[in-house]
Amino acid sequence: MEHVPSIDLIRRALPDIEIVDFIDSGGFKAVFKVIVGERREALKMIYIPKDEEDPEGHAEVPQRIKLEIDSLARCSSQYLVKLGSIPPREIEISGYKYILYSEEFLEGRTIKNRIRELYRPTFSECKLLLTCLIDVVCELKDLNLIHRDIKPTNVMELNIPERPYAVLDLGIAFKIGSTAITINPDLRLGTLPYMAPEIFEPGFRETLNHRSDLYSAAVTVYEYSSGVHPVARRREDHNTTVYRILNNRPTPLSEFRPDFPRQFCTLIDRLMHKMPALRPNIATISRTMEGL
Amino acid sequence: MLLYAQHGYAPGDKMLRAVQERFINGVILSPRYLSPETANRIIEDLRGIRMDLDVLFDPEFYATIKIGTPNAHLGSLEQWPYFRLRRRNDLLVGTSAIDDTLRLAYQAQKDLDCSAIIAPNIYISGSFDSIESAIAISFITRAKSVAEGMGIREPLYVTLAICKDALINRHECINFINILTSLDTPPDGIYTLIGAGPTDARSGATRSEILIPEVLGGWMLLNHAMFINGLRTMNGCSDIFSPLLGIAQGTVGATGWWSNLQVFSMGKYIKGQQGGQQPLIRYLSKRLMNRITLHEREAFSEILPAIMNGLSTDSFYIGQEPTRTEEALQGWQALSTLTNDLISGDINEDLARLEAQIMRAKEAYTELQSHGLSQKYESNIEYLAILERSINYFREVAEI
Repeated sequence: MEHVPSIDLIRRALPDIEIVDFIDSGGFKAVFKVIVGERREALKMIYIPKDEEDPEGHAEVPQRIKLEIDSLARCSSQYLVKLGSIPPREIEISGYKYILYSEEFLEGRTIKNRIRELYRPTFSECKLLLTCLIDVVCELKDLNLIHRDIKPTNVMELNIPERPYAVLDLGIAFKIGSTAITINPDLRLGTLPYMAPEIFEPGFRETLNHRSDLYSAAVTVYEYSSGVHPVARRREDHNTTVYRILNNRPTPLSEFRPDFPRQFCTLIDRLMHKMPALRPNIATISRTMEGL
Repeated sequence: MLLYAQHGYAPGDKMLRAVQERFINGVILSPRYLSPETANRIIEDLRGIRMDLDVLFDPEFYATIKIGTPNAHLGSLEQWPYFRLRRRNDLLVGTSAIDDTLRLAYQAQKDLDCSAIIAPNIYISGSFDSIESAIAISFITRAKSVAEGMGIREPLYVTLAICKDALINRHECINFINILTSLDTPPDGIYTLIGAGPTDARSGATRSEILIPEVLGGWMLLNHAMFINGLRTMNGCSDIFSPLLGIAQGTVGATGWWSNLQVFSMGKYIKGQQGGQQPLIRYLSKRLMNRITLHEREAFSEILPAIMNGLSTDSFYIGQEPTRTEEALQGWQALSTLTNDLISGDINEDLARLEAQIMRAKEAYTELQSHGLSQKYESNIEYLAILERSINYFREVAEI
């Protein structure tokens, strides 16, 4: 995020909140660890670009935050991050405008970190991860929402048996049937290596549905299971990655994980099919998972 | 895969005997050849032989487009209350005309006590990116809700009658299947009809019109995608292509005794030339994956006895010319066993089996040619090559 304010500046602007630490930043967002009452929470600060420097961002960012907060408030899945106690508000620090709100503070590591550590998960862990991700996709589907950014960086591994994983960041969620937030219709939001092939179709917004999230969930589980991204390769340009997403078939997961049940590997492979209609539907996924 | 009889002109006792012999699992009745009264009688006769027989009724609503044309050949269709020409605008704007048509067609089938209901639809004559396609989707979208509103508990199939040309455009075909598999209130299955060009009951040449890899491969893709999404596919007039569709995880194949029941065509609702000869009696050889004339059967079997199926209906052809009923029974038995031989449920294994079967058919034709029986050799080899290319196309689009 541009113009990340220092902790001191935030403390001065928000005297009622105890700012503990800076956690991370990216895109338009910076996250801080804070204490509210006796509870730890994650304070999210989103920079609102000035109208003259980024008119689209200036118009879009507040709408996106509103959609994210509204969506989180309506979701009940325990595998999705919860809102914290700080309601959204706008503040100005050093002449820059931000919107801030809080989410629960999740203790754990992201799946991306685990992949970087070359951790080799067990089948039970991968099955559990897929179960949690599918639960989130289903919940969002019922609310006519598509997460659009399921990826290892947005999935936390928690040390809670009844809540092993949690999905973060509904910042670019897509609401089916609502007025478009993205002003530039050619813009495809998401993290390229995890974007489903249909997102690159012209007019994709008209047909986009939860099957894109199923694809991203499968890519995430595949990468976690194998340690290798199914399609993208390091240090290659965007166009090549797009070509691979549209044309290359991933190596079957069973080749990396012959120790996993074949049905599970096949399920993950099928969820990564290029054609959305060829991806197993929720009922088929549930049936397959029950049999494992 | 189940095999149904596709009902048509002059059924005689063909279906009754096929049910008795258990060569078929069900029938798809055609109201073009049945008044509401005769439909009841024929169903009673069929169920009298086998109570659990699947009896379905194709409303043939897609043929309403021919109402009022001077050479329309609609038979008894206009006696059915749902068979009314609806203006395209009425079907396109709002849902009342569609709902009304669905209700009337469902009621007709409820009155007949059908095992499953087939929702009517219009014919997509050219492209999936068309007004016709939009109307067809509206029928499909409304089908389940209207059925639920009428308290229908039987499985619901919706008609998808499309011209072969629509399947040739890969991009549009894939988009259409994506829409079809993401409906909020999906039916239990679809009833597909892939339309070739003009045909009549006596023509033997219509099949070649849908012998296009993109058409057969696209039809397979449709079956496969429906299966993945928990929907059944019943393939009307699929005849010799039934094994391909079954391997792609289709549920039902269907065929009848005339060529216009073996390949679907809207041309059958237009009067053709009167008179002419009856079509030649044929024998469906599993080994050749093809129907051959009696003369060919005799000549081929002397050189290559394996072209005979070795099934009970072979006896109809020994020392005599079989009747039309016997010819139909032979076709159903051969097709049913060919389908069972090839389908295990493992799609990769089954595709490999099918390819091996096609290879054996090619080898058989080549051997027959080496003995001087080269008539139609090239067209038969080309037919088999197209089947192979259809499988390759299917593998590619279905990402198998």
